[in-house]
Amino acid sequence: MGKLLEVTDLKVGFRIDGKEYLALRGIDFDLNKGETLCIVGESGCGKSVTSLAIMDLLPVNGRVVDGSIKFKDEELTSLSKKKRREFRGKKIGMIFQEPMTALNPLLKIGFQLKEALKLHQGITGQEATEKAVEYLDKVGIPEPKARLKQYSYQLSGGLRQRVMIAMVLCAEPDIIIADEPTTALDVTIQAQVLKLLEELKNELEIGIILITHDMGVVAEVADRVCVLYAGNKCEEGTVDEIFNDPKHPYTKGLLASVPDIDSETFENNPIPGVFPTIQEEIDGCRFNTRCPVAKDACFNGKRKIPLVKCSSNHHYICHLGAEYYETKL
Amino acid sequence: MKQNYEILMEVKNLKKFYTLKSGKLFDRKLRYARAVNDITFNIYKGEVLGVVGESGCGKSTLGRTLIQMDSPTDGEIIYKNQDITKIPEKDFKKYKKEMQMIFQDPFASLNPRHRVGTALEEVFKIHTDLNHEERKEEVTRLLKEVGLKAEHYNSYPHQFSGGQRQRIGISRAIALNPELIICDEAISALDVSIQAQVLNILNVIQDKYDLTYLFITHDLAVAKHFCDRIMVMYLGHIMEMCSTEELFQNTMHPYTISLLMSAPRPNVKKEREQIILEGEVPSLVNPPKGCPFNTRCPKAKDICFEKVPEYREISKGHYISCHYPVEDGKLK
Repeated sequence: MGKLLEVTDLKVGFRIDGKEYLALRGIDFDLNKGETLCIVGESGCGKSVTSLAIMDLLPVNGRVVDGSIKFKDEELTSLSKKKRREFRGKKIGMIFQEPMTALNPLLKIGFQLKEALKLHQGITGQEATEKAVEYLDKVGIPEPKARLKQYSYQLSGGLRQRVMIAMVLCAEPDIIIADEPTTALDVTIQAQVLKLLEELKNELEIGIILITHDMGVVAEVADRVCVLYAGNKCEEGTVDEIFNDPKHPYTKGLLASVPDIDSETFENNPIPGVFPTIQEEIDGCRFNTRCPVAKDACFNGKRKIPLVKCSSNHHYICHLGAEYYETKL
Repeated sequence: MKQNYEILMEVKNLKKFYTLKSGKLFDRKLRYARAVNDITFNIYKGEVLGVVGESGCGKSTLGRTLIQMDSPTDGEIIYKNQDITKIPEKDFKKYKKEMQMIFQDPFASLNPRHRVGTALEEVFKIHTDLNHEERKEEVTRLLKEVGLKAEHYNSYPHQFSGGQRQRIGISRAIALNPELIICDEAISALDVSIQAQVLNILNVIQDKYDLTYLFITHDLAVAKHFCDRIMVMYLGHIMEMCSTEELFQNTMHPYTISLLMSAPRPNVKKEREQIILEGEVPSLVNPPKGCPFNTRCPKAKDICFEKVPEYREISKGHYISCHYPVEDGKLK
């Protein structure tokens, strides 16, 4: 499998009141062709910042402080703004959470799709119309011809999200980043959209980065999972490894707080405490104040948190893991 | 379920239609969005009654109508032997205290310019004769009750996290010792680890204050683990209603079955049978003729397109409105 994207030690900072705070504190992951990588975590963990950094869409007060983002061996972070535009949309497409705000309410769907086709594939006129219909059909929109003449407000939430996906496909990207694509949708519609993404992935052999907070969605579509907490990666592994053999205390806590519709009982053991803000400086592991098994070492800011490998895909980053690992050796 | 069958609130043929203007200037024909369409049920004292359904099914309207935030178009809501839809506003004030609501977005329901203490004190200013000192004492007690600190009295809403704000919303709701609390998507805006915390608080205060909840949610997994009975709504109608146990073991309505199937599972154990519903929820303004679910139902036959199915008790405590209830829990 070819590597599409390689992110190493990515650090993103935001300037707030004249001081820079890190929203991402050095995360690594990669994405292969034809796979879905889910980035999960709670709000504020840096999952959306990751996607914005890859797309070079960070707000004005944010910047990539350190690290590298490689797209097929090409380093993105050192490229000029102009060069970077050739990747955004064209090579890496993005689907946002709220399709209503991502579509222009004043322009017809057809116009917006054709604009994307002209920009990315250089197709115009009648040919573009045909192509637009074809893409709308591909994402399962009924009566695609009639839709071209409609405005976004005339469509339901599920259809709007499909139009967004069609628009992203117009550029024939290698990677699609979907930031909470189904959070605003109802469960029955969510199931439809997730199925569509899965089909497109298999058919077009693209790589999908799916950003979500919903463990149910993760279990449904992910091949590999990357768990973030407060700007750090906690654990990464295949979907089976994460769900059946979670190692990091945060991953465990996260899974335990999701009620399962199939199980008869639900022991409500929430993770105590509150999520730290990015301004908060925490000595040692950023999860230490909420971690049920934290030891002294976890509060020691001088100690580097070790990465523990469980298999070729599965690893986690935790002090406790190291101790556990050492005693086992 | 708590063994208590005392009826707290009786709802009979409740309807709430919103009138819509047509776009044309001199067109006087009115159209209606039938948000709640002929609903009959009881709320028992001390239970958690879940209301689930997709957006636009009327679940929030139902909650708002029950506590008279919206006045119903038709029907009766009987509370303590009084039809509260028929009594004048000033007589309703005493019942208002007993029915409270927790909203989805706690930030939107708090005034950003008021300190939390001031906002909570307002409740007592309006409904009680307590003096300033007593009010402050009460508010401090409430804040502690939901796991906040006395110092938070002087903080502003923006200084809190989402979970803490929702706790403030809860403390406001329990301030006047209510009987019934409507939780309208009360935990939907929160992160999962915080959701679990807030559910725990709701549980604790329910036991302590002997509360009844109407728990509106779109999350079936949460409903399963938190509610005693569940009502499934679709396009303003009740599709199925029974105890939680019965609903999950003996699901009978095709809509409920497909809803349960499309809910994503947080585990990767097995390949499960998945039927993804096609199409979308029809508009409330222009509902289909016959059964509201007929446009998407895999089991629909001729009669479903002609007659609205009767809402009936199919076995003890299990209500359903469907011409062809599913017997073995399988759609195909």
